[in-house]
Amino acid sequence: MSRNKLKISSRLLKKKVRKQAYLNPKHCRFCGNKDLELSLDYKNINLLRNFLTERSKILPSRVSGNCSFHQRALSQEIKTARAIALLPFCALQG
Amino acid sequence: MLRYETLLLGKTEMTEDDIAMLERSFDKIVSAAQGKLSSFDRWGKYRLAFPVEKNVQGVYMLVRYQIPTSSAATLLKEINTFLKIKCNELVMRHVSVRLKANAPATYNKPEAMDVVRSGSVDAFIKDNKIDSLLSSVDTAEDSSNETVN
Repeated sequence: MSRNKLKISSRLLKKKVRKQAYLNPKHCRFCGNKDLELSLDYKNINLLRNFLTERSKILPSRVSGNCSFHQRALSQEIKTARAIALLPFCALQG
Repeated sequence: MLRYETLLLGKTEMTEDDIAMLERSFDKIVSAAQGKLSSFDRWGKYRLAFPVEKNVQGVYMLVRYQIPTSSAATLLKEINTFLKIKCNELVMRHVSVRLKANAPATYNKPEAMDVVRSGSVDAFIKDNKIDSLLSSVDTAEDSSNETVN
């Protein structure tokens, strides 16, 4: 009896999450914004820093809301910036 | 004509002569391939995100050049070998990137360590364009944004 109740509530939660994703979809901030697209550069670390976590990991697109095209371009720029020591590979400990 | 740029990361012990030598060598290599050096910017001293060859600070230089399509591959190889072998003492890292056709000439670069900020508050406000905080508004400067109160 209690197990059935748990199954129903988790189903309801998933339904809510799906509805939220449908009602408030995340928008890619690069799509349609030509200036921002052009400024997506490995040198522009002020922009790139917004897409790193506190441990300097690249944010997934489901969190940042980027479309796949711009997420790929962004991650490529972050990796070039990391190679030339403009951005860290991992956050320093302590 | 293809547009390329190379970002060099040099050690802080680089002198003006070293930088001039780098610029001249780049000019030589690029013009040998029938190209043209667009710009050579020394960004200044920066604190690096992680120690590179035990150095915590470094000097960045951005070189932009235009080269014909036919000599692109050989030129990039030449630049790579030149920076790796000849400039082993001075240049720690380098990255060569092809610029897109619609890339603007200006770029956003991070703030350098040796940028001297002026001490006055008004200058800071004017630089960052927070005009509402200015205690006294210069009518001569703000003639373009005339607001009617």
